[in-house]
Amino acid sequence: MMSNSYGRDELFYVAPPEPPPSRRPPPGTVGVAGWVRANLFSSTFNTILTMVTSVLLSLFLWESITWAVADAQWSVVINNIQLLNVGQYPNAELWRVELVAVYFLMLSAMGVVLWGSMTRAAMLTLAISVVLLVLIPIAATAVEPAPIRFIVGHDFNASPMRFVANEGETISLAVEPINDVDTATDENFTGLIEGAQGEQNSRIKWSEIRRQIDQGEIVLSDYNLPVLLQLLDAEGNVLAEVLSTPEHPVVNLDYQVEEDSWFIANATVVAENVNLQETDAIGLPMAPSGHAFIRIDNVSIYRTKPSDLERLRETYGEIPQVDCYTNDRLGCQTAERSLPYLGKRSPGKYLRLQLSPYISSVASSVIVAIIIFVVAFGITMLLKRFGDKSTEKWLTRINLIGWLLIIPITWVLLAGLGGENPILSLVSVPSERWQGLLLTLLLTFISVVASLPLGILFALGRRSGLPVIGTFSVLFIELIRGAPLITILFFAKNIVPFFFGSGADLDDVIRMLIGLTLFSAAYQAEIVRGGLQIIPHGQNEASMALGLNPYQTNYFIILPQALRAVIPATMSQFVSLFKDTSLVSIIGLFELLGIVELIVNGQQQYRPFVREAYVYVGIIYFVIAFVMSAVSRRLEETGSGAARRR
Amino acid sequence: MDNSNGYIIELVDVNKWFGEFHVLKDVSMKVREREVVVVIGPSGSGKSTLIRCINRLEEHQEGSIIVDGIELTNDVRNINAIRRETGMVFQQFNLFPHLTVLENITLAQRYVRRRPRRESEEKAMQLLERVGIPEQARKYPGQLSGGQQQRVAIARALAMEPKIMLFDEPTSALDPEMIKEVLDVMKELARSGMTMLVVTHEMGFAREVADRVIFMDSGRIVEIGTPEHFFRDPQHDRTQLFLSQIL
Repeated sequence: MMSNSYGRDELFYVAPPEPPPSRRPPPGTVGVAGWVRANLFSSTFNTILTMVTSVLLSLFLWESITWAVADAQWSVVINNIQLLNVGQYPNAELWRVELVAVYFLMLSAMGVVLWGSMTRAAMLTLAISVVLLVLIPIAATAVEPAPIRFIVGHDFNASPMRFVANEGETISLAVEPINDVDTATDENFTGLIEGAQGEQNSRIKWSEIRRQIDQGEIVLSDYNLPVLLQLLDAEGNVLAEVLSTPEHPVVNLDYQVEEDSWFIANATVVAENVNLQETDAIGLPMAPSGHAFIRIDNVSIYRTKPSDLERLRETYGEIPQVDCYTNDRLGCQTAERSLPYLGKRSPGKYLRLQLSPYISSVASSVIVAIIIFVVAFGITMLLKRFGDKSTEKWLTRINLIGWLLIIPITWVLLAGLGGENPILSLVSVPSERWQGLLLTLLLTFISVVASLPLGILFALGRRSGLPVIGTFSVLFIELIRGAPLITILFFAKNIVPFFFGSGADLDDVIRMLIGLTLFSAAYQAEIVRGGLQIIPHGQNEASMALGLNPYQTNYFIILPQALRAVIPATMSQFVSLFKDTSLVSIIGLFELLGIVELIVNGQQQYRPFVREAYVYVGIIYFVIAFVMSAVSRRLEETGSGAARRR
Repeated sequence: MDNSNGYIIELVDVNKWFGEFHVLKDVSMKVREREVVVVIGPSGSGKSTLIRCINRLEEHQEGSIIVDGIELTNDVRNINAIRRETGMVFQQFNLFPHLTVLENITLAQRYVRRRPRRESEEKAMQLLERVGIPEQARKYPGQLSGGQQQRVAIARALAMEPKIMLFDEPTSALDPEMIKEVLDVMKELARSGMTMLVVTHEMGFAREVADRVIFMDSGRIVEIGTPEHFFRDPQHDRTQLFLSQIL
């Protein structure tokens, strides 16, 4: 009776021999429109959410961008790129940092050709980080100081300029016309309008003077201002002086330095030497008109870097006090590169005054870095393509040895061997002077490289059947994880030396490396243990049944799978380690974040712009962290594990 | 071999406990060289534990196990020697998912047998031919069907040139369509004279290939017999009950 209720085709049905052809999906369900509909406007709630979020997001973006373009004063970054990147690493030894960068770049480029996709991605990250490191303007390595030139106008005086000079050098002061208007650049024209009253509180770059010349605000032929040019010693005694008059505007003065010391150059407009008969419209005597261009040669100017200040104080004695003529809030510090343009800016001015100086100052070194990478890449590629199997084997071996030696080589290059070494005299650079991004990357790289194997050992130790090793591992892991990193760094600073006996002089950077490595290793151990736990026991059994011993089992079977499974967690641990390196500033090492404090403390004029400096540092942190996590995503997708299914 | 009177596996009064639970109770059995022995029984009867004791994946607490004249003790050298004599195939295949099929088969050859790379790859290809899937050598286990994976697992065990093959329910995790291809390989192996100890629920296989059938229940051996006798004329009540339920 049941069968009566079945429909026609229900009980007996045979499909036609051929399946029907596949059709396209209905319109509006695929493509961009389909995606938008399905993901952004699928329901009333979703629509409201989309609207609200996009309004908030645009507001946020608008505010940030207008601030960055119109208000922010990025010169704190532009003028301090070297400090941000390598801190107070001595100028004369900067080539060593660059050599390290080149070494990293070449190994990475080789590695990208030679190794599998996993390693390849990792090496690309490294290369990108290093490119950020070499953002040091290459010009910074030039030790020869450019002549200092500045301009004195008829209605303002220049503040006295303080500088140091060494025994045997010749200081040359001159008042002379600018004869290289067209070839002068911001780089070779260090000089500036000094404290133009009421007009602008800052010094102006050559490009700005050039603009004024072009607009007729400064007439070059008017370089006929009578000026008394004096060279004073640190106590203010006149050592030499020379007078420039409208009749003989071009004068110069040379002074042979007898002793390392501070000197002061002083340019004063001398009214009594000019004809004051001319009167203005209401009958008052006119001030002398025109300009004087003053040039100082062969000296290194007092820059406001605190490190330099310390060094200068040691070598040349206390900095002489001078009276400043202007209400210049930059004080009497000269030769600072200008703070181009204060106040609201249009996007065009932003590009011209803020972005392009930054790019032009870092472009050359980035381009060199990219060229080195591409050349090393190309050569390896060619050798691999046209060489036989053994060539590739050799290349791989060289690359491997290069990576194995990278930490000692980097360390020796950065620290130096001490000047006495007869073969290779590398002046030793104390690690307190490794600062900025250099220190951040160094701490991250070494503690990542050291903490991964250590973490694996502790993870295996914690799982091992031997109670002594197991207990030790658990104790280590839980102790370290139970304390904040900052505590561990204090411990590393104050306690670790005791373990090394007379190691009281153990380098601070090494102490921090020990602290960071142990800290990261404890977390790494737990991450790896998580990975080990998800490997089915059958893998172990299969391996043992084949006769592989426990070490081989771990090395060939368990660890490769466990580590791949924890790539995301491992990478996020490394990203977090990278950011945690900023904590070393608490014991007085100035890494990327700490150096900002150093910059604004040493150069008061940047104090109002500390925000910009922190934003820039934030961007650098973000770029590196983002690259790291992008690589982690790639690692998950590529390689043998991608085909894995169970 | 000579000192064990032609028996390649000898178990005498083997007892094993998992904690308080008595899994194997006075198990004694002998396997001759080139013999195929099938172990059957309900789940939880201890049959898997029994063969896992033979290559020390499980440790027995009492009694003695002698494989190819080597007594299984806590001595690591003995354990390794026995593992070199025995190959094992698992219910879940347990292939190494991060290695290709070829690497799965060559790994132990290279690092346990210390065979050069080329030689072990030749051996691996030879075995893949034998199990019928030479074209899959470069793939990863995850890209193969269950039946193919199990055949790779057999090839992997054979690559070590064992004297004994232990099979722990090799077809239980397979789709019905794939069981046959694995059983065919096992039959071929049996014909070639390999000593095999097989835990399985495939009664057809037992009937066709086995020299002897061992029936286990609650951790003890209940009945041993040739397939003809065992299936046609089981003696023990428990055996009769078991067979009536599955046949």
